[in-house]
Amino acid sequence: MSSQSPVAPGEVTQLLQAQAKGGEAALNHVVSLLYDELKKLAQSQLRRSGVRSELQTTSLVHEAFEKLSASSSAHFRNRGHFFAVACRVMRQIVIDTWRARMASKRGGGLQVESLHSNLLADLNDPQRVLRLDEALNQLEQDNEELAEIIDLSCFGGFSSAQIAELRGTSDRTVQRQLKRARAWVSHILENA
Amino acid sequence: MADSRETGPLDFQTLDALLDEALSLTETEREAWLAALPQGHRRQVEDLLKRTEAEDLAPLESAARALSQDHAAIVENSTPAQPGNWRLIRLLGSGGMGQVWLAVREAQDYAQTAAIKMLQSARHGPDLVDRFLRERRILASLQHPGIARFLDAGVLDDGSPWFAMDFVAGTDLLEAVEELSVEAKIQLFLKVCDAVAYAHNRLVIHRDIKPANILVDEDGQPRLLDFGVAALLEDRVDAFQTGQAGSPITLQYASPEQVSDTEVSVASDVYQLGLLLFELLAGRPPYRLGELSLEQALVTLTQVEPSPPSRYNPRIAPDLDAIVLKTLRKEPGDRYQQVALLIADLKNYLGGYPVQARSPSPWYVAKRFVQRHATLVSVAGLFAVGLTVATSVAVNRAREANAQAERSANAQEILASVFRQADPYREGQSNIGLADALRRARGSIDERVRGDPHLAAEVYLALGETYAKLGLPDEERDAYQLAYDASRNLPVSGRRLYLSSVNGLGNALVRDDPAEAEQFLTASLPDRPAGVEESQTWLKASYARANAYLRLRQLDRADETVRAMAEVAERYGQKSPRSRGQLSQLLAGVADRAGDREAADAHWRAAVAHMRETENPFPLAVMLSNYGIFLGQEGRFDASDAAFQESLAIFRRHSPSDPTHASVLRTYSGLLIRTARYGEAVDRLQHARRIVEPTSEHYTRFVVLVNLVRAAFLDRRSEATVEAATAGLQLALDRYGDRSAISQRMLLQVARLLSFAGESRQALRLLRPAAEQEPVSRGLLLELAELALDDKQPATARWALGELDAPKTADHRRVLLRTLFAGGEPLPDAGDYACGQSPATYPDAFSVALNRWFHVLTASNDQAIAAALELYDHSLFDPLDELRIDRAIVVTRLSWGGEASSVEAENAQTRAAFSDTLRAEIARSSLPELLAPLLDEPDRPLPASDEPLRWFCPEESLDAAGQKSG
Repeated sequence: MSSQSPVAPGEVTQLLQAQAKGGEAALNHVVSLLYDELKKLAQSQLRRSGVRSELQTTSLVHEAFEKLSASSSAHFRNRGHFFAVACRVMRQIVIDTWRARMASKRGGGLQVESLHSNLLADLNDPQRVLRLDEALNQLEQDNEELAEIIDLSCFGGFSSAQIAELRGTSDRTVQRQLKRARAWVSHILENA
Repeated sequence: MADSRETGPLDFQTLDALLDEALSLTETEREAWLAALPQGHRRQVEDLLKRTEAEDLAPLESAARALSQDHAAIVENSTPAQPGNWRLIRLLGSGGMGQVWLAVREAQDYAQTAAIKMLQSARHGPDLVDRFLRERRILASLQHPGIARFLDAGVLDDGSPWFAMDFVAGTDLLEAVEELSVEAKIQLFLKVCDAVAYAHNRLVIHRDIKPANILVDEDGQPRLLDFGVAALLEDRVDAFQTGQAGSPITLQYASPEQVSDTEVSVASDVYQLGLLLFELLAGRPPYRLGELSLEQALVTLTQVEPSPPSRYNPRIAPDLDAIVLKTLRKEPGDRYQQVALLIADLKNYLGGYPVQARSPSPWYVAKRFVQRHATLVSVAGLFAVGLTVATSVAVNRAREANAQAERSANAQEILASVFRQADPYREGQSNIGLADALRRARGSIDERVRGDPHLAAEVYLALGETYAKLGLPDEERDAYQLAYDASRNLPVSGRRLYLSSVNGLGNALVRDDPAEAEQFLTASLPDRPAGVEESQTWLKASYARANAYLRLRQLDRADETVRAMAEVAERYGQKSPRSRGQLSQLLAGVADRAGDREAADAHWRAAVAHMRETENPFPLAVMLSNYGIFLGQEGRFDASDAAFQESLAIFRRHSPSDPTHASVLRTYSGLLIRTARYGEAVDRLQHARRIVEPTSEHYTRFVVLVNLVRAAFLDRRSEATVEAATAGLQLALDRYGDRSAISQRMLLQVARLLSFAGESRQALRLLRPAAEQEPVSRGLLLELAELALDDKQPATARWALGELDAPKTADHRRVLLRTLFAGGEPLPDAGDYACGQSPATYPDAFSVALNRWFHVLTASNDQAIAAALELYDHSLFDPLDELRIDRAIVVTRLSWGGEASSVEAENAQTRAAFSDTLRAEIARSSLPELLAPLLDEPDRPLPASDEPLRWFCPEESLDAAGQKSG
């Protein structure tokens, strides 16, 4: 299978199930197989941000890729679940980076690599990102599905149609779920 | 319509379901649907509906976007040229040597990731490309879970080399071990060692082992990075010395030979592993070179010995200190020569075995042994049951020790274990004799007890006991003397030690010098014990005193002492049947010595009767066995047999696999041999062997084998004889070495077999080296003399006898006379010889027998045999003979005399036939192989001796005899 051709969804799910039975090799293989899709995922993300570059695309993907490869204990139910986790990992990367930035700004003496100089530069309320993360975590408690869809949409850059395909539901359902999720995040933030 | 019960806040699930329903409706449908809801519910749903288009998530989305842009910016600014087919993804880190990138290679069906090291280009020579190409295949062949695989290497257009290896997602080693125990750290470190040892076996040296090159993955498997890479890069030394590699921090993990001109070998990796282990254990490196100038750093690295890691972490044991320091020796040859040896030693440490880094120190070895078998040793102490008076003394002492302070018990256990196991060394690891080990340990033992007379007395007492078991009378006496010196000025609390020392020294002295023993005991032993707690020890010491009087033929004083003992026994010994039994046993011994057989028998019967009252069946079994020995000596074979049978029945019933059962079987086999029931003896001994085979009772197994050789020989079973001899010799060599007094007993047996099989010359060659060693048993020298006489080498016999003091046993006298006869030297008058020392010393029967022997020397062979038999029989009761190791040799010799009685019935032809069978069996066995390294040069002359042989003891009698015969 060349790097250009899409991965058959069934194949990946099979491999993921093999990995669930315990096998770091299987996970690595899966991550490798999904490399191109991850790449596309990042591309769509970047397209939205207005940047176009092969290297730029792979950059974020690889940070996620790295984390996924390292988590040999993570078990995926299917392809959709895999991407949900991948996107959640991306959220973690964003949040961790932000936290580190906050810590160094507070003068904790921590010398954080200035890798993410653009990150959140335009945000007025630096605490807001962290509160958002907390809100998403709470939503995850109430309804894991809704939190997953936010991760897929927000960090994976998946369209509602793509998400519907991943999850095996209809586009309309996903759009409705996105609305519900946004409503709940807003509600949680306000009532926090 | 509004029901108050329905208007409260809804839970998440219900509200979310309502929201979902609202969203699935068209605008108009929704209006009607909302209107139908209860007021409170409607408000909650409407609130959520307003929020469905909220932009709250925007910051997260823009954060994600920004993150992508950051990565992109960095990647674009710093991406170097593309190495090979690899696509660089992300910068993982950078340092003085270059950059490390995460890279991907698109393979046939999937993407392969790697960490790629891009090295600075400046200082690499033109042949580097060739070297890379040559080496990369070798490096890529290293496949080990502990090694990050080498994938690829090459050189960029600008001449800078790069190489790719497995990308490892893991934690820094030093970080990974932070929470670990010392043991877990070592286990992790051992995995690193495994990987390095694996590479060494494939002739690849790492050369740059340091914490930064080791990552620990999620499964706890450390992975070594950069294997063999340093070797690819030339001029490391130059780099250090010119400072090109930056500051001397680079030296931090260098080995001394890496900064000098010396060849770098596996020892360099061993050193770097040592640095790593040091840092793991101590939490810091041994040197902080970064704080020094380059020159100071170089001097430190090559000349300053590191402090032990325990200096920084007090939980590090001395053994670990020793291991670490051995890896950090400046001289490569002083380190572990292979990583495998370092691994083995760390495993020794973890397993509680002696570590090589600390050997040789027998005291230390014994200590490790005791720590490893702490339970076993104390159990052995509780259950050890002696067969003889001497060992019951030991048992009592061990029991007393249990009641004493932990300190002294511990000290005693250390030494007690040394002799109980008779081999403190690791299974199958060492064949250094115990006596040897103790000799070498003496310095440190003395050191350990200095300044603590309590401890000193305790340790020297145990040491004396050990030497007694080893058959080293001089050392035994010295040890007891030291115990006595240490204990004589102790306060009241040390009175037990004092009395035990008096007892030990008294019993040791009485063997060789009854007069001195008597003097010593009269001066140091109180007339009566101060109380019941010391009555046992007092009785034992009094036993030596009574014995001394007997030796000196001061029978009145002996009688007086025995009476006092009886009185003390009467007064203090009432409490337990067991102690009364032991006292009766002592009295039996005294009566026996006094020649009062009937009284002795009565005491023995009393002793047995007392033991019958004890709850524990084993003291009775042991006492019956001891009584059996006495009865056998009395020639009351049927009674002896009955006593043994009863003893054995107890063991069979209560504890068939008890090693003491084996000892009793062995003793019983002696009776069976004397009564010519050889086949039965063989069966009993085989049984005993099966009992002790799986245990660590090596000494018992050894003695069983000694007897088995004899019994099987007498039963004319060549195969069993040679098999037992081979097993026994192998055991002796493995356990006690070729020089110990214990091993000599088996050498003697083998020599006799060889001699019988017509290989006298070989037997002689076997015994000669042993005869020149210290210690040598009297039995061995006598056997050597006899073999030499058989081989018509009277000069050798003379030399052997010259090594001995004047004869004290009939056996010795016989060989002496034979030697004189063979050498054509004048013989003393038989009567004079027998009575020259002191007529009263010897029973009349001995003189008669001796006269007969003299007669024999000039008479026929048949008469010689008859006379010899009588001598043998007689010497069984020789009152001067001690129940010690060499006594066993004499007994063995006597049993071979028993052979003569069976030989009477056997014609010469049968005898010759068995000699041939035996010779063939020996040739077929592995015995010759075992013997080969032990044999002396065929024709090496032994030192000659012109000294007149000493006939008499003591010295003044010799002069008298010399005048007479001269």
